[in-house]
Amino acid sequence: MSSQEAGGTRIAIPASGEGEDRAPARRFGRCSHFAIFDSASESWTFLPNPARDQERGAGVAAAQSMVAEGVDVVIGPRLGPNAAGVLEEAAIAVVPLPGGEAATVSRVLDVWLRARTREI
Amino acid sequence: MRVAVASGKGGTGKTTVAAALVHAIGSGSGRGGTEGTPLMLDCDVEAPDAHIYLQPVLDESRAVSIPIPSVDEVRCDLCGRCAEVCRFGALAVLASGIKTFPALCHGCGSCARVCPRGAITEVRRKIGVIETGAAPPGVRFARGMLDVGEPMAVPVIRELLREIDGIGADAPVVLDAPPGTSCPAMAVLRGADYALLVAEPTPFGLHDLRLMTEAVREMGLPAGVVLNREGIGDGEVERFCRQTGLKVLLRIPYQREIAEGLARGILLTAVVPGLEAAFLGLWQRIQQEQMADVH
Repeated sequence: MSSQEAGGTRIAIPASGEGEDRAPARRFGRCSHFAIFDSASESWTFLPNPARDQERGAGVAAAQSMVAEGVDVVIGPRLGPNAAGVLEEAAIAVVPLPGGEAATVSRVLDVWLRARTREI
Repeated sequence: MRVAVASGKGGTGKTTVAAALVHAIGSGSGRGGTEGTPLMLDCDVEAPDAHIYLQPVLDESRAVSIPIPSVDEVRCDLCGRCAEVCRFGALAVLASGIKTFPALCHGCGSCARVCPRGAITEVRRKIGVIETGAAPPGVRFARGMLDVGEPMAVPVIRELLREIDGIGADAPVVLDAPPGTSCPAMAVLRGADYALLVAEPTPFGLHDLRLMTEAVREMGLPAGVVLNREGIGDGEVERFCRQTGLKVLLRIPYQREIAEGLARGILLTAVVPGLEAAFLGLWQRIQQEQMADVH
């Protein structure tokens, strides 16, 4: 069910809306959109969070959509235990949001990419 | 006759009123009244406390459980329909198999129904207990207790309400509802013929009485008010009652000796013996009001 093709890394950032200039969301399960960056095509897609208005279990359903989207890394706010369990079992890495310097999802991505480049 | 003692606000005096009411009915019945043996159901399953005032002997108990999915990994082909149909996020489909979240499951059974390979069976998971017994003077008593950490009170309340099954429509039943106007409180009101709303005359009391009044009117349930701690706050609750046609059926004054007695776990009508007749009168009044509403 993974949509991930060979090569690229897919990075998802819970966002407060659609567009790379939107602020990262404060909550994972009920965020407005997931901003997903594909490193192979170097392009963004913005997925409306299907779990946003779910009465209960939004964290699990949102995590499920990360699995379905073939995401490799989630950069976001602290996760609840249910969502964290799904992502862990699906071997999706979870990275905390950087500090106040990253006001938009594209900045969040830049900070993460730079840090990763340094590691390499 | 099933009377739910409810209030939007917690700590308003629901249990105080419910226990005094059912005790008065039991006493009246014991003295040769026509009320019949009353049944008290403590439906505040997250924090039942009516036993403190009524001192029942609880000699029977039964578990309450809900069905949750159990996935046969051999049959399952990870198609994901179970997770799609679940409104509560209780299942997730992973490459490694289906992960279930029992605490999120509402026991609706949709996942088992939609599974095209028949890979899901339902197993029972205990979430609480019903305890039944009797309290003086001749009160049948039952309470529901949700297990600690369980999020869903409604299945326990529904099971508790089954205690009413088989009881004559005229027999007195007092339901001590949980606070608030969310699902647990509504589940109790759905089992009632009449809503006795306990309110205190404060801005907070008014706010929550208003919400509860909207809820019972939407349900078409006749309602009346017990004004508790009369003497504090302001006159806005009474004004609201007048404006909306809610009758104030009983007033309980704000008195230090009442607060002290209740804090020691003493029944209201034992603290103020003169109130027992008032509670029996309240019961008769409720019946008249309910009859008037029906006809």
